[in-house]
Amino acid sequence: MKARLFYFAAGVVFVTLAFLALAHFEARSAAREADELRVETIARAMAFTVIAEREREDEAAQGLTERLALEAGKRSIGLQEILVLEGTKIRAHSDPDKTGQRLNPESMADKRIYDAAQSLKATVRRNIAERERRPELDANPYPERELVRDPLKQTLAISIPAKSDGDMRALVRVVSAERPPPLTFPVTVLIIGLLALGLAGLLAWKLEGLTLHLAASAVILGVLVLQAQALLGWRDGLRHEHAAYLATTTAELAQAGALAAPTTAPERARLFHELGLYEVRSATVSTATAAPHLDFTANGFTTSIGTQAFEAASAQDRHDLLQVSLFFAFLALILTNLGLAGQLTRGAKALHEHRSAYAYLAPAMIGMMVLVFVPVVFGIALGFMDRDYNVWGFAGLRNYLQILSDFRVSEPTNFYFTLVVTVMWTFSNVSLHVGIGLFFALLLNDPMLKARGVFRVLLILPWAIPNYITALIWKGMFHKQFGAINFLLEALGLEPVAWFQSFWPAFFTNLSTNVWLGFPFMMVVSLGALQSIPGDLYEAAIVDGASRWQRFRRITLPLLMPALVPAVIMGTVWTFNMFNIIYLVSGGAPDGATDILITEAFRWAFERDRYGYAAAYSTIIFVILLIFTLITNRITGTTKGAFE
Amino acid sequence: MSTPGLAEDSPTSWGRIGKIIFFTVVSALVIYPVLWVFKMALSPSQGFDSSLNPFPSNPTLANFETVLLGDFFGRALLNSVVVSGATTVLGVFLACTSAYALSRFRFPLRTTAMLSFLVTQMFPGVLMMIPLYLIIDYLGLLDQLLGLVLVYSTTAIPFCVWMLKGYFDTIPRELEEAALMDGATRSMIFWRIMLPLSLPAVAVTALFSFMTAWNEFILAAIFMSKEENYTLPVMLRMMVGQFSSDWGNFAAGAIVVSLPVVVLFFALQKQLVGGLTAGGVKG
Repeated sequence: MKARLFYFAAGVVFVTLAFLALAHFEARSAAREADELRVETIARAMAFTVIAEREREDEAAQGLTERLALEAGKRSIGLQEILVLEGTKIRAHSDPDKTGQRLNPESMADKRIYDAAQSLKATVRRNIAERERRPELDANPYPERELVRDPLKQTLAISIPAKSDGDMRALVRVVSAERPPPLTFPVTVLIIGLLALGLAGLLAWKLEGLTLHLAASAVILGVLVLQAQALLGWRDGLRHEHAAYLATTTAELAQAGALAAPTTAPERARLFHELGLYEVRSATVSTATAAPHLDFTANGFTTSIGTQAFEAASAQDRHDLLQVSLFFAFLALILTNLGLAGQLTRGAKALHEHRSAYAYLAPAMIGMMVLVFVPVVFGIALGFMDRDYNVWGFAGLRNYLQILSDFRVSEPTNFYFTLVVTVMWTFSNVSLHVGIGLFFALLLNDPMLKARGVFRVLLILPWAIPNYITALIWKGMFHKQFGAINFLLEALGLEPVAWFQSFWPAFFTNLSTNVWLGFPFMMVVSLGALQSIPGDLYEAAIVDGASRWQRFRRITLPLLMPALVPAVIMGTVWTFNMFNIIYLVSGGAPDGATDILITEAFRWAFERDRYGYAAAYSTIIFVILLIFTLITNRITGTTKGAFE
Repeated sequence: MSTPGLAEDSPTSWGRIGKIIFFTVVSALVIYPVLWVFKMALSPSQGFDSSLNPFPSNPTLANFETVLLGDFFGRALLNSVVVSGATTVLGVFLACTSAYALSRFRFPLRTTAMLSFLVTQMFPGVLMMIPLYLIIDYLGLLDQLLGLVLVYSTTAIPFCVWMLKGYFDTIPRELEEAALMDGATRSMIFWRIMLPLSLPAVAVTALFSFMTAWNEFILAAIFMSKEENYTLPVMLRMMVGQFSSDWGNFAAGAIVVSLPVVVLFFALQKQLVGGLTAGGVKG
């Protein structure tokens, strides 16, 4: 038993460490990619500006912008859109249909470019006064498209005024590609890792002793290296096309001599200064090597464009991945030799022996694994991470500390404030559900009562209606001006209440909605239990002279408990996580004061954009509920019978 | 306090008359919001009627007409039917097979499997939304009905498994042993004996899966960005959003949406309650 526990713990540690390491690695390369893309976009914009200006002066560069823009449009990689505008005429565009056209301010698609041109005029006017030209940055280049909410996927547009025939009347505008999503889930890693375990298991089945340990370790090591290679291949695939395009354009750039021409450093500096890009430190194009590339430093990030740069990034990744996989392999080696192999032997034997049982269980388990367990593990892991300026990083316990060590308890968004509200909410709901439900059930449990069935059906109705509909209806009923509740108050000669402007009325709206839809469940459960109590118990009690209260206290209540206790536990968990009612009725009004933990977690994730924080928040909710269930389970033994 | 089994007083005793009056008042209070919705649905205006009378003064079916013939409602209805139907089929199949395994076989990790089903019921949905979004995105199922079907059927599985397992446990093993003697295979036993015998429980499982899919709106709202992929709950929520309040249309829509579940619910509610309390799990 002890050994098993140890293996289990070791396994958990192994998986967690592996996951965190990978997540960290992923976050870091995503951050690097985002930086690269940004700098790259600036570099491209500058290069195009230079080319666009050269084109007019240099015979050799004729039509180059058009060619490069079309090339970029065809591959749609690196850049989403390239536009060289002269007056209102489009000189070059990544969309071949647009090249050579004039802007049509009436058309929706052109409106944006037209606006950009207008903005260019303003820019030029402003910049002429300052005798400089400055690029315009636009974080939302496609206003007609739905705004991408994820800041990581937002694109960046750079517009640079350019000279044309000596006049500053051209505009170069490039739109960056969407930044790569930062948290790509390493499914490959998971699958290959499982494969490794399976292989090791098979091996362990056939071998014994030292040979077994060594062989299993070798398999795990091998598969982990393969796994690293697979991950790497996947990344490389992503980069390869990108790099190929970059290499082409870089070669074109070099050929045009646009950037290579000013060979001396002061000359380059002057060029960039003229472009108004102060942040750019250096940019060099090298055609000396077989792989032309552009080194570029801006905003403190250095990037290198071209195949050579790609090779370098690849090598860096390979090195990192090798380290990561060696680390895992080492861990795996230790674990195998600690007896994991023995476990696997047993596992494999059991798998074979009970194969039909596992076959029946497998479909549901696979589904649960992918869509329930993985998201949960992922969610918990996310709680240990945080996003800083769009870059994911490992945060350790920071989220948890921020949540739990903030004691400004009078703030509605404070964890302890919300916790108290949640406990109050759960307790008041469950006691009212049980109180009302039980009371009605006791009254209804009378076979001689006329129209009993009708009342039963009418009273169950609230339970049958989808709860989001109930919530929306009740929200309407509590409307200050048009709600039925305020009409009732006015009919009774009372002042109408602004239900959602202070805490207690708002809490009351949530509570009454949830009580309305929640008591029928308790009523039905109690009614079912009451009907199963044998009548002769009461007859015997009456013969013995027991009073009504004594009969209730000594017979009804104890016999109700087995049905009522699980219902109460369930009801508590339900109410604790009752998202729909809070979210739709009061919506947390006023100022999030009536939010419970679950809606607060939702707001942290989807309204305040702090996924890591929200994940930590949810994990805390989960732990609270888990402890609650374990304690009640221990006391009542509710699920004991069900495991047989 | 009333006690069962004692019939010494007649149906017309004062106590019973008092109870009938009490329940008439209580029932009227409880169904008042429902009547209110019917009134809004049948009234010609889109706003609220400023009277407490729960019956419409000049009823019309105009709102139902607007809603049912509206541009997107029909589409949303179709989406909801497809999603809920597919969820029911998939969810019931997955739940039946694994409940059968848990009920009839003894194998290593059986308790762990059952516990894991139970524990998942405590995971706050919010914790899973972001990862689920990323996974569905990874699988390329964002903005597709299939994505919703997969997510809904797996969220319905734990409850269904526990409830079906409880029911399977009550079916005597002798039946299967006899069938095995006669040369039946495991799968024949499952399809020909277990499933037909557990039809009531399977029906409840189906109802539960159906209701899960039919009533869910948060994930549907997050996963679906194209209007033609909206399900009914998302559609209804939009009707009474911040900037629009077509209460008449909303009420008509709410009735159309609720009707099938309410009917199904009343048809199967006895088994549902039994399953809820027997399983001892959250739904």
